[in-house]
Amino acid sequence: MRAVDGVELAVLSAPTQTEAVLLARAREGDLDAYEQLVRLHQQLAFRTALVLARNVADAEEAAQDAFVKAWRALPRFDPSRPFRPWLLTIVANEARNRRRSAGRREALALRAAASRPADAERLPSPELALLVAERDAALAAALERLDDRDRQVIACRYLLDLSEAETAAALGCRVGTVKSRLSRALERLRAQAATEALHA
Amino acid sequence: MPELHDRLEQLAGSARWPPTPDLAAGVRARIEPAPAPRRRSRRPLLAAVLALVVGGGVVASPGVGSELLQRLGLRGATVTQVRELPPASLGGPLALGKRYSLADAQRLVDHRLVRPRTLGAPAEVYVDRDAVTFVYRARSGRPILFSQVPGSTRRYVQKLVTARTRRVRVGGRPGLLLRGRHVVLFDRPGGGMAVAEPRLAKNTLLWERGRLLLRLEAEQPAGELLRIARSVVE
Repeated sequence: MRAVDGVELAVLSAPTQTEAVLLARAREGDLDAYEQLVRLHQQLAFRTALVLARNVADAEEAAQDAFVKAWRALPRFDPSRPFRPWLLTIVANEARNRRRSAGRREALALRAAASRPADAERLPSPELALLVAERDAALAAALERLDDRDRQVIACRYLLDLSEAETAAALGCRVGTVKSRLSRALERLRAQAATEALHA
Repeated sequence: MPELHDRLEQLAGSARWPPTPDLAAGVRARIEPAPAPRRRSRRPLLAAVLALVVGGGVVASPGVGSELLQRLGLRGATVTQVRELPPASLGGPLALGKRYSLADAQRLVDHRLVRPRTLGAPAEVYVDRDAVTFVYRARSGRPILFSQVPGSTRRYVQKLVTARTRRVRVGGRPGLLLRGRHVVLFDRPGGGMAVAEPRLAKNTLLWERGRLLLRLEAEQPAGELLRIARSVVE
């Protein structure tokens, strides 16, 4: 789905016939159709939220809230435009809001027993939570050491396999910005990976 | 930079993401049109909440600047939406009552205990008057609380929330879904409006089952709470 020689394969971002039909029905208030739409996109929504929120529980809530908000906003959705970037914009907003929330890291006040964070949540990022082959570990570690802006654009384009338009929607920037940000992020990743290799 | 592109694509190919939760069920539950609320007099509840504001209670009142925005109720529970939460400690006991074995707990109350089938056997069981609470451990290690109390005209628990409370249906029965942090104020034994041990909680589902008021409190997302709630059996 990524650009080949600078040409974006935009056709892959267009709604499939099934999705278009479901969207039309959902826009008329068909709950069953919208539930199917959610199932079609819930994996992408959850993973995108995970890249941005960096917490499994927050990502799940962000994705679910985003689908609820998208349902309410469906009458304003332009059906001539692709659905995924529109949805990803909402998902990303929800995920970022959770990450910014001052109280997000406060422990749940269920104190019947000492709590222990989930393994996935104890890891510093979703990227490192991925169980990667050993030879990929240095690259994953280098990715983790990048700042959020670099890490997110690389994760969107490579790990989530989003198009440039979808990445722009998820990151809240223009497509042109995605290209320049990705280019710089890859340069920094390559430098970081070289450093990691030296210390390996 | 082709080598880096290749390595990133290999990294993506070998990635094992956390399992994607089934969001559709929770989303469906939240967008389903809610039944029209029953009309009921607000005067007694308003008086009760104002008593909390004025009286202060043992620890907390809604506080200066708080404002009553919305109240929703089930038998034995009242939910009040306020603009801001009163101060509440994250520490301190849960005031769930005294710990018993499951069999002893069943002997102590006059209703048949129900349990969420999907959670299996509770790790701990507490009884406080006619209220029974099961404590479970989620896979994350964090506790899940499941409480059951015969519904009555007296209020068992008061919840102050800042987020919108949603009406839901659990097995065809009415329920309320409280998402995000809220403060729980328990009635004091012996009655009256005094409150004790305010605490911050997270997602909570309250629903009726027969003459019981059931309450599920956990960090799990709303959809997961609904799934657990729908598995409740005797």
